[in-house]
Amino acid sequence: MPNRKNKGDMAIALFLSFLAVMMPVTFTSLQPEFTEEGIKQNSIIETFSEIVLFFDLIPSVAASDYFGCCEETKNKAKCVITLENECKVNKWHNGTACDTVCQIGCCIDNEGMCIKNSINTDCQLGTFIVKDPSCEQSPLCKEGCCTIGYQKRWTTNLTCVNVYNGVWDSAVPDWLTCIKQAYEEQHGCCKSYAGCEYITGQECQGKSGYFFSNMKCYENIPGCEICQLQPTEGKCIEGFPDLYKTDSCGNVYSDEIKKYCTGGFCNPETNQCESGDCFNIYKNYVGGEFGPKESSDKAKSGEAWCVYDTLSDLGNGTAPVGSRHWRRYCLYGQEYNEPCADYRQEVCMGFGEGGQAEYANCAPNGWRLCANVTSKNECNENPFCFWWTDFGEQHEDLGLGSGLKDAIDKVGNDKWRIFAEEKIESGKSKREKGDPQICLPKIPPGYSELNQELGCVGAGSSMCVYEEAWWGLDTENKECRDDEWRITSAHTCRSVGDCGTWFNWVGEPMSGFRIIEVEEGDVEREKKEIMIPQAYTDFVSEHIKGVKGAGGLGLLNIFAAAFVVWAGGYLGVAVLDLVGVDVFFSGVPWAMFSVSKGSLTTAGIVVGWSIIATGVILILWSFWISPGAKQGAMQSIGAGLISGGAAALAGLTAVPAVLVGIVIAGIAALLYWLGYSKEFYYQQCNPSMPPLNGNDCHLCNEDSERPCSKYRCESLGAACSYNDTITVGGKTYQLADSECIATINDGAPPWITEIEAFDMEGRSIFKRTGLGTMPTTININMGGQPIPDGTQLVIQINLNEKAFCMWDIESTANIGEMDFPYQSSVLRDELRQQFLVKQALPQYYVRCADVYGNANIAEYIFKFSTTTGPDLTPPVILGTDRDYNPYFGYSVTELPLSIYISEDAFCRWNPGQDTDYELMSQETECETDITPTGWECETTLTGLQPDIANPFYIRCKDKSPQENVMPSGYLLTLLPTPPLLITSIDPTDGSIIKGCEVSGVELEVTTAEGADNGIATCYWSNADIGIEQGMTKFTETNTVIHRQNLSAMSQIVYIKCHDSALNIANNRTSFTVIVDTFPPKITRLYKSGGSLILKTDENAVCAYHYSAGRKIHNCNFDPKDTLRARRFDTTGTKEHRVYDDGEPWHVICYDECDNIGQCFVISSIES
Amino acid sequence: MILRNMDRDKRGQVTLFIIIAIVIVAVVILAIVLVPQLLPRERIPPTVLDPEAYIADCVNLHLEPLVEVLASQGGYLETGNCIFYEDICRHYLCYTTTPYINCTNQEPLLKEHVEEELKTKLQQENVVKNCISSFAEAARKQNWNVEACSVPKFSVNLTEGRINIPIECDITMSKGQEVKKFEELNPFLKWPLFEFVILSKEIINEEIENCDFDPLAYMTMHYQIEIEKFRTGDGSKIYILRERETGKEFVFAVRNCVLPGGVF
Repeated sequence: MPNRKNKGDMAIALFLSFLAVMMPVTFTSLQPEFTEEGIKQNSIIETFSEIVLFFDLIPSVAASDYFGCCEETKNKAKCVITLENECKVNKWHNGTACDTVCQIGCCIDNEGMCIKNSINTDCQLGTFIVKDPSCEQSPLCKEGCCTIGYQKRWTTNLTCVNVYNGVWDSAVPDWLTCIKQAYEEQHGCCKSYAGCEYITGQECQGKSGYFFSNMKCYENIPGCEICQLQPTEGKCIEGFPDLYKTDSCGNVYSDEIKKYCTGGFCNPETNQCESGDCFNIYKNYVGGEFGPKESSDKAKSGEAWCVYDTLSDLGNGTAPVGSRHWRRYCLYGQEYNEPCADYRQEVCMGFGEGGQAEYANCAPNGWRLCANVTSKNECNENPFCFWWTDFGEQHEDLGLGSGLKDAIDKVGNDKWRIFAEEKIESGKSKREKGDPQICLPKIPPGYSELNQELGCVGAGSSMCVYEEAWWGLDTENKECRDDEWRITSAHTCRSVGDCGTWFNWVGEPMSGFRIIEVEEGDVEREKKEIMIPQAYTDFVSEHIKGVKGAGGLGLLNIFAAAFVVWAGGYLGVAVLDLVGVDVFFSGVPWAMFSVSKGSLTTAGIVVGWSIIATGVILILWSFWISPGAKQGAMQSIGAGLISGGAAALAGLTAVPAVLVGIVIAGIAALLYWLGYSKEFYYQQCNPSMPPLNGNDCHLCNEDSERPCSKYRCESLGAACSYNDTITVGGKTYQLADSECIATINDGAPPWITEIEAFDMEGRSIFKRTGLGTMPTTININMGGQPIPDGTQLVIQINLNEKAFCMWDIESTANIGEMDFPYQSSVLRDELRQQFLVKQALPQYYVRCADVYGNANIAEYIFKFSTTTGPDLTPPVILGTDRDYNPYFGYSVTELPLSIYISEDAFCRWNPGQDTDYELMSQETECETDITPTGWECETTLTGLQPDIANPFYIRCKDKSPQENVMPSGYLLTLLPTPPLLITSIDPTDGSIIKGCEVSGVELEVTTAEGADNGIATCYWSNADIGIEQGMTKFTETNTVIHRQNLSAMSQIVYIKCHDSALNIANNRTSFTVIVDTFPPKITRLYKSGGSLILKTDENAVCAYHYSAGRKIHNCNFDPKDTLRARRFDTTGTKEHRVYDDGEPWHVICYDECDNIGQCFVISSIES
Repeated sequence: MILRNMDRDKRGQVTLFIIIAIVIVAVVILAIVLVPQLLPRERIPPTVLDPEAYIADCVNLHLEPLVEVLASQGGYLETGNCIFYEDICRHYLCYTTTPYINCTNQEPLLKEHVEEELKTKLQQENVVKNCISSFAEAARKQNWNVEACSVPKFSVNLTEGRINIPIECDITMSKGQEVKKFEELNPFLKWPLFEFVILSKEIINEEIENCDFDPLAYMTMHYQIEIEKFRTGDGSKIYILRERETGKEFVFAVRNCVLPGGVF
C-alpha cells in the first residue's frame, strides 16, 4: 500500500504542477488593446494568435501542426493563417505573416473606390498601392463630401463623379459636417442642359448652368416657365423627415414643407407621411424591470433597445452560462433583430435619458480590461468592471493582540485567486505582495470549448494552507477556514467566466466549484469535501428559476457530497528526539541573577545571560515566521537556550546545563509538534458542467427572436449537440443556423479507444489502440523500456464519445469518489492530463462518464513500468515570463526573468551563445519548494543591448544524483524597441494663450515609436517629480494622442510617458494664460489728409456718439448701439480712421472681448 | 308602390329576383376587378420586328435566375469560401481565420468579378448564341430571311439599376424590299446589382476600418435599401441587402475582428 504521506505529497505536487502549466499561459499579456479606433491586437497575436489559442505548455504539438500564411486554402479563402493541410499545394508559408506573403495594400477600383486590405494579385484590373492597407497614402483615396442632389456621401472624388454623378468637395472636414450640410446648404434654380433643377450652386457650376440663388424654379426663372408649383402634390426626400413641395419639372423643395411628418417619416415609395412606429415589440427589459418577451410597447422609428436572456445579464457579474445579448430596433415600421457577438464577447448597451434607453448598440465586452486593474478606484471607474469585496481590507490584521507580530500575512496574494498579470506601473515590473486584486468583469465572458479550462483553472483555482501552532495560539492564513473567504472564492470562480457553480440561461444549475480539505492526520488519511457555504448557494438560488431546494446544488453535483481525501502533506517540523537524561537543577532559580554564587564566575554569568538572551531573541524572532518547522525549531532551540542558560546561572556545570537545555528544547519541540497542525484547502475552479441530460435542448430552437448557437445549445445540457458544420461535395463548411438536438442516450458508459503518452518535449513514447469497450489495465512504458522515476508524462486518451473523466491515486468505488478531474473535467472525446511517474506511485485510476452520466463502473488502471534505476531525465524548461513579451525598452539594460521548470533543478544562463551548463556564467536563484507557479527560478538578465536582438541561452541541471543536464539550451531572444518619443505637445513651450474667457487649457501630447508604435501611458505634473511620486495620469491616455484638461492659469507642465516595454519619454511645456480684461488704450492720435486717425494698442472698434443724423457732444452712449453710435469709417484693427469735420468727437472704443474703454473727447487737431 | 300593390307571394318573388340581380352585378364587377389580378397574365412575347427586345427577353429568362443565385451567394455562382445560412452558401467577401485582426478583402474588384462570373456562365451555356438563333428561327417562321453572326461577342456590365449585356452581332433580316440591319444590341435586365455591389464594398471598408458596420445608421439616411445583419456563433456576420421596392436581395458574409470566447 502506498505510503499515505507520500501520496499527500504527490497529490499536492501534482496539483501545483498543473498550476505551473496553466499559470504562465493564462497570465501573459496577450490581450488586445481597445482604443477609440477599435480593437487593436497585440503584435504577437497579430501573427500567431491561432497558435496561441492552441498553445499548451505541455509541448505536444507535432511538427505538422504549425501555422503559417496560406495564399489560398482548399476552400478558396485567400491570405489567411492556417495549418499546412488546409492549404493548397505550394501555397503555404510556415510561420510567416500574411501581409508580407500576400502583399496587402490598397486597391483603387475602376469606380474610384479605395478598397482596404486588398491582395495585390486581386487588383490586377485596378490600381494597387503597396503597403497601404488603410488606403491613406494615395491622394486619390482622400475622402470628401459628395453632393448628389439632396444626398450626401462621404467618398473619394472619383467615386463621387463616376458612380454617383455628384459634385465633390474636399474642403469639408468630416462626414458629420458633410451630412449636416444637406440640411443647411443653400439651393437655387439652375438652368442648364439638364433642364431646370433646384440644386446647389456648386452642382450648377459643374453643369455649366446659370444659377439663380435662393430662387425656386417656379418663380418665373427665365427658361423655366414650364415649372409650375404643384399645389396638391408633395414628395419625400431620402434622409429628410417631412413631405416637401414639388413642381411640374420634378423639383422637390427641401425648404418648403408641404406637411410635417411629426413622429413618423416620409415614405419615398408612397410620398406620404407614415408613422413608422413598431407595435407589440419584442422587449423584455422595460424601465428597469425585467418583463415578458412580447410587450404591448411600441417603438418609434429609429429607436433601438436591448434584449437579454435573464435579469442576471444586466451587469452584476452574474451572467448565466450560454446567455447572449441582442439589439433590436424599429425603422420605418419594421422591427429588426441583431444578435451581439456570442460568448458575451459583445454586450448590448442602451443609451438614453431618464433611465429609458432610446438607442442601443452592441459593443465589445471590455472584460479583459479588468484583469490588470489593481486599484479599487480605477476598477470602479471602468464601465466593464467592478470591485468585488473589501475582504482584504477588513482582514488586514489577523495577528495576535500582543503586537509582537503584525498582520498575519495581510491576506496576501498568494492566498487570493490571482487575476492579473505582473503589474507594470511606476517602473515596477513585478506584482507587489499585499495587493489584493478583486477587480472582476461586470459581464463575464463565455468560454469556448477550446480553452475553457485555461481560464477557469488558471484564474479561479487556488490552494490555501492553514497552519496553527500551540493549538491555535499562533495561526497562519486563518481565512482559509473562513466561510467568507470561500464564498469570495466561489464568486470569483464564477465571475471569471463560465466557471464554477452557477446556472445556465434557462435557470438550470451547473456545477464546477469544489473545496477539498486535506488535513494531516496521524493515522488515517483525512480528506473531505467542504460544502459550498450556504450564503453562496442562497445567492445562486436567488438567481435560479425553480431551483431544486437548498443544498440541491451539492446534490446535483456529480460528485458525492462528502469526500475523504487523505494527503499527508509534509509537517516541516523538526522533531527532536527526547533526550532521556536526568535534569540537574540547583534549586534556587533566582541564583541566575546573582553575580557571584558558588563557582559561578563573571564570565560564566555573562555567557549564561548571553545564552538566555540568544534564546529570547530566537523566540521573539520566531513570531515573525509562519508556523512550521522553522518556527518550531527556533522556539524549541530558544526554549532550550533559555533553560540551559538559566540552569547555568543557577549553578549547574556546563554539561548538565547543556543537558537541561536539550531536554527543555525537546519538550518544547514535542509540545510544538503536538500543538501544530496544517490543513490544505484546495479550491478547484472548473468549467461549469451543464446538467447531464438533454432535456432542455429543444428550448434553444424554440425562439426565433433569440436564435440558437453552439454556445447556447451546449449550455443547456451535456447531451445537447449543435452541429455547426455541413459537408457539401466532400468539403466542410461552417453552418450558421443549425439545430440543437439531444444525442441519444445509449445507456452505455464511454470507453477509451486510444491512449498515447508524450514526454515533456512532445515526443510520443507510447501508443495503444484497440483497447476494447471495457475498462482495463494499461501498461505504459517508454518505447518498450521502463520509465525513469520522476518522469512527467502527458497521457492523451481518445474516447468513443464526448465524456468527462476523473482520476485518482487509489482505487475508489465509483467516479463520484475520485478526486481529480481529467483536464478539468471538460466534456470532450479527446482529453489530456499530466502525470508524475514515481516508483512509489506506479499507477493511476481513471474513470469516465458520458453526457448522460453513464459512468464506468470498473476503473481503467494506467500502470507505469518504472525503472529501479536512476533518474535519467533532464529537466525541461516549460517557459519563461518573457516568452510572450520579449520586448524591452530602449534604455533598459537589465530585466528580471522567471523561469518555469518541470522539476526541482538549478539553472544557469549565458548571453549570446549556447554552451555547456558548467561553462555558463550566470546563476539563477531557484526555489527549493514548489511554488504556486511550479518550480521556478529567478534571475536578472543583464547586458541588454539596444538596436540588436539579444539571445540568451538557459540550461538547467536537476538535483538527482545523476545531475541530469539539459542537452541544449533554451533560447530566449529579447528584442529592443525603439525609444518612445514625444513628438508634439500642444500648447508648445512658451505659448501665450489669450482669450476673453479661458475656462481651461487642453494639453495634448502625441507619442510615437516605442514598443507599441507610439501607444503609451502619460502622466503630468507641475513639479519635476517621478511618476510614482505623484504625477497624475492623463484623462485620455493609453493611446497615441493624450489629452488632459488643465486649469486656466499660467504654468509649467512636466510630462512623462512610458510604454509596455518601459521606454520612458520626458518633456515639458509651459504657457501663459492671458485673459483680456482690459479695454483698448489709445496709443496715438493724429490727423492726416483730412482724416482723423486713432491708434489703439489692440484690435478694437471705435465709435462716436451719433444720432439722428448728427454728432452728439456727450458721452452718454453705448458704442454698440447702432442708433446712437457710428463707427469710424475704418475700424476693427489697431488703426481707426474717420473724416475729420473739425467738430469735437466723443469716442468710445471696445475690443472683441467686449472690454469697453472710457469715453474720450477729441477736439480739433492740427494735421 | 308596385310591391305594395302586389300580393304577398309575388312580392317575395320580386324581392328575390332583385337580390339575385344585385348579386350578379356584384360578381361581374368583382370579376372585372379581381380576375386580372388573380389570374396570371399571359406573357406576350416581343415580336421579331424588335430583335433587341426579343433577344433581351430571351437572355433575361436565363440571366435572371443566374443573377438570383449569384446574389444569394455573395457574388459567386459556385461554392467556395462560404458559410451556409438558410441552406445557401453565403460567400465571405472579407475573411480572416485569426481572432482580433481585420479581415482580408477577398474580392476587391467585386463588380468586375460579378460581371465575369455572369459572362462566363452565359458563355458556358451559350445563352446569347441560342437566343440569337431562336430569334432567327422565329423570324424565319414569319418569312423573314435572317442572317446572323455565328459567334456573337458580348460582355456583361453593371450600371445603375441594370445588368447590361451589350452584344456585337451582325444581324440582317430581309423580307421583300424591307431590309433591316443590326450590328449592336443592348439588352439589359433591371436588377439593382450595381447598387448592391457598391454598398457591399462600403460595408466591407467600414468593417475593416471600424470592425463593425451599423445598418440602422445607414438606413436612416437611405431608405431604398434595407440591411439586416446576423451574427453567427463563430463570429461571422451575414449581411442581407434588400431593395425595399422589389424585395431583391444580395447576401454575403464577413469574418472580421472576431472576439473568441474565453481567455484569449
